[in-house]
Order: sequence, then structure tokens, then C-alpha cells
Amino acid sequence: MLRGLYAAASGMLARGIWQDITANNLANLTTPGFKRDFPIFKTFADMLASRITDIVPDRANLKSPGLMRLNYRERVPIGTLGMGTDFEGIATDLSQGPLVETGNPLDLAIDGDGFFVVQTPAGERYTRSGSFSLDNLGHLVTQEGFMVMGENGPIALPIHGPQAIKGIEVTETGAILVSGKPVAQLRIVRFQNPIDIVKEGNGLFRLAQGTAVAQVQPQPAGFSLMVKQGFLEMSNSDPITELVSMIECLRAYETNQKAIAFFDQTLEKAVNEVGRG
Amino acid sequence: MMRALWSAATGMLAKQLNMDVIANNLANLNTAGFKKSRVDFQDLMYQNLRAPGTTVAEGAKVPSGIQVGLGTRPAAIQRIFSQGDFVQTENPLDLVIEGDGFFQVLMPDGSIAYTRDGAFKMDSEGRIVTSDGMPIEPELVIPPDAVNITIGSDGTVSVMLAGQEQPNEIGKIEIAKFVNPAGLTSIGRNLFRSTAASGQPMVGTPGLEGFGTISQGFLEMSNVKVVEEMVNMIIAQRAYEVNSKAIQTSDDMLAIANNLKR
Repeated sequence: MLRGLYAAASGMLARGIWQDITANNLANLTTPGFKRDFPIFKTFADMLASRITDIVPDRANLKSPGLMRLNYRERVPIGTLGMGTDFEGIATDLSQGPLVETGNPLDLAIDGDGFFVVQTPAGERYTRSGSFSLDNLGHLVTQEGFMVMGENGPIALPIHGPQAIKGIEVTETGAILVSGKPVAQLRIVRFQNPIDIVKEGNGLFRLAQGTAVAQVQPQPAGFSLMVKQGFLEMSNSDPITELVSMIECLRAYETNQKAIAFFDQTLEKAVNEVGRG
Repeated sequence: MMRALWSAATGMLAKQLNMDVIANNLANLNTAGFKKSRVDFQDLMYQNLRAPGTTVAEGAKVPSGIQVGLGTRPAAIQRIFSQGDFVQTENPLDLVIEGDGFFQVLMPDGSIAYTRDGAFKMDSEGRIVTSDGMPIEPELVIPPDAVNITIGSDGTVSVMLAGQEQPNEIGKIEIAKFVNPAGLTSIGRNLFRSTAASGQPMVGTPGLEGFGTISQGFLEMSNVKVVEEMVNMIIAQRAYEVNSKAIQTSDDMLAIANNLKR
């Protein structure tokens, strides 16, 4: 059938997924620590097009004078022909989201590059969503109850005795002080390459296979990473960008549909009018 | 059907819940001892159309996968126990806790509830009670001939009896605190109950071991800030709107697809 029909259909399918991504970005406009996704399109490998009329008869292989075989090796190329759109992949935009002051001492935000480490039943996971709480044993946990990891394992704050919680202070370097005394150091990791981590949902990221984690110790001055207490990092998806890509996506979808309708008309003509004989 | 429709619908549902919480915060703008709540959202699961790192031809690896997110969900409604503003009332039985801690209230069923609302009254028997008539724990009784009630920052309650020159100590207000106050459950009427998430109450003397101090003649108002809630309301409304746009657009796309076959 007409190549253009398939090419246009591939355009519609890819735009369908793009709309799914945009809708997810919009649904997570107010999700703390959410990082927006964006599609990377590519064209299918181009193929060489050649003129049919330029195919020359393969005289060397002719068995009988009456038979003419076409020699495909001598086809004359006239250029390349695209075969439509495909997904290269979906990338996550890890840029910084805006920091919003919440006044909650257990809300932590990372200003700069890095992830908090949390321990889940499935293993270590990474998050930028620093909306933490304490469990009944004084462990620093996520809203799911997963423990937030420090340099020496899960972070447990003293809850009884003389060092009982008077006030929790988290410094910009990630040290956690209770009643003015250091009790733990947040573990913050950075990845060599942003594509090394994969979204898992529930605000968590996990390692892609065969990936190295760079351990980062935030430094007080002149360093790109700062922990901010009483702040939450909001989603980095913004409605304007997403709306624009939604319009772009819708119109491209429509154009591709128009192209299919046009090919359909052409086919109709070919089948019903030319074929009428 | 398109994932986008459902993703956008989760966004709209989430913003509705957000509005419910904001509306309750605003409704309690003037409620003494009220603590505002906040909804925390999380992204839902992701559908893997192609895993990143998959080996393609000639040992090359796909640099990024195709993962489509399926929307958002509320993860928790968290109560924020930041300090509210103090308002001077000059009523001797209006108390605030400056710092951590809750007043303990004896419920009719014998259990203890916790509150930051320090608008106490005296009942006909002289007991210090909440506005609902529930006595504070441990019970404090003001003698009928008391002329002056003084409550110290450590919770000591002293009264001056008619015709005497020395104040008499009649008891002490004890306060409770929790490892994780955000884990307390609200039972309405400004009262909280302890749960497994909040941990057991630690009861102590105001001003000692991290407990807050008590000030007399003040009330702690709600910690709701109008501007903050208004901004949150704008964000919730616009996010709701933009998600409805996403639903409309997805619907348009489905209509376009339907028109493929005339």
C-alpha cells in the first residue's frame, strides 16, 4: 500500500504517546519533587528511493532472449525517503524545581544536583521529594514510611531521655542536629549521567542497570548542593510549556490524520475509478 | 483508550482533594489552636514501553527508555504543627504553650485527648474544663473563695484565697508531646488522639526537657495564613483547569482518530 499511509499513521501513534506524557506532566503540576518527561522523536531509517524507469535489464543473466530480468544492483538512486516517526525515547528533565517555603521542619529540599536516598523493601531508591515525617520510633521516613538513609544507615532521632527532641535542625550541609547536637548526616547521591536513573512512580527513582552512583557530601560553601530545611521542591513541569506542547501535539496529530484522509482519497480514486477499466 | 485521559482525570481528582483541604483550612482561620493541613502528592506508576539500557543491535544500548507516567495521587494529608499567632485576651484561664506540647483533656469515655486550644473555663464545681466541659488532666479544682488565679510558665497553678496574703499552690498543668505529632489523628472540636504513627505521649513539666512553656492570658490562634491558602487555591484551581484542558485535547484527538474512517 502507499508508504505515506504508514508514515502518517506512525506520526499519529507517536503523538498519542506524546499526549500521554503531557497529561502526566500536567497531572503532576503540584507534586513535590516531580521531574517532567519529554519525548525525543526520531525518523525511521531513511530508505533509498530509485526511479523504476532507470532499472536496466540484466543482460548477462538472460537465459532466453524473450525473458528480461531486472538488475536491481544497477538501480539509480534519486534520494532518500522517510518512513515516518518513531520514539527515540522519553527523557526526564532533571532541572531544579522551584523551592517553596512550608514552615515544616521536616520538609527538606535539595538546592542543586543530588537525590535523597530511601530504603524500600525492593532496595535503595532515590527521591527529590523531601516531605518527610518521623515514625513512632523516631526514624526519619517518607510519607510511605520508607526510611530516609544517612551516612550510617537509617536516620533515627533520639526520642527519649535527656537528648529528647527539643528542635530538629538540618544544616545546609545535610547534618541533622537535635537539641543542637549532631545526630546524623543525610546521605545524598548524585549520578554520573542523568539517564542512569529511571522513574518508578511514588516520587521514587531507581538505578538503571549497570550504573554507578557518585556519593556526594554537601559542602558548606562554593558547592552546587545545599539542603534547605522548611522548604519543599515543587514540580518542575510548568503549565505554559505543557500547554504549548499539547497544542503542538494536537495539531500535528490532526495534520497526520489529514494526510491519511488524503491518501485514502487517492486510494479510493485508484481502486474505484482507475480500476473501473 | 488514551492514557492521557485517565492521567488528566487523576490530576483533576487530586486538585479536588486539595481544594477540600484548603477550604477546611480557611474555614478554621479563626479557630483557636487549629493546625492547618497540607496534601502531599506523588506521581503514579509508570508504564514501561521500552526499558532503558536495553541492548539493541551490535551491543549498542538504548540511552533512554520509553516510560509513560499514569498521573498523580495524593500520598498523605499532613498536619503542619507550626506555631500559630498568640493573641492577648487577658482572661486568666486562657493559656498558650510556647513550643512543643499539648494540653491533656479527659474525655467522657475515660481516654485522653490532646489539644493546643487553651481557651479553658471553670465549671460549676470549680474544675478547669475546655469549652465543651471536659476537664483537663490531671484535674485542677479552683477553690470557690479564690480571688486571683496565677499560672506560671512551668504550669504551676496558684490562687490567692480571700483574706490571705500568700498565694497557695493548688496543682500543676502537665503537657504531653509526641515524637511525630503529624501522626496524631484529628477527632474534631480541636482535639487530637494518639496513634501508632504518633508514638506514645511523653508527659512532662512545661519548660523542661524540650517541653514548651505556658503563658497565661493568651490564646494560640490557628496557624492558617490567608495569603498562603489563597495562593494554594489559585494553584489548585489553575491546575484543575489545565487538567480539564488535557482531557478536552485528548478527547479532540480521539475524535480526530474517529474521523479517520468516514
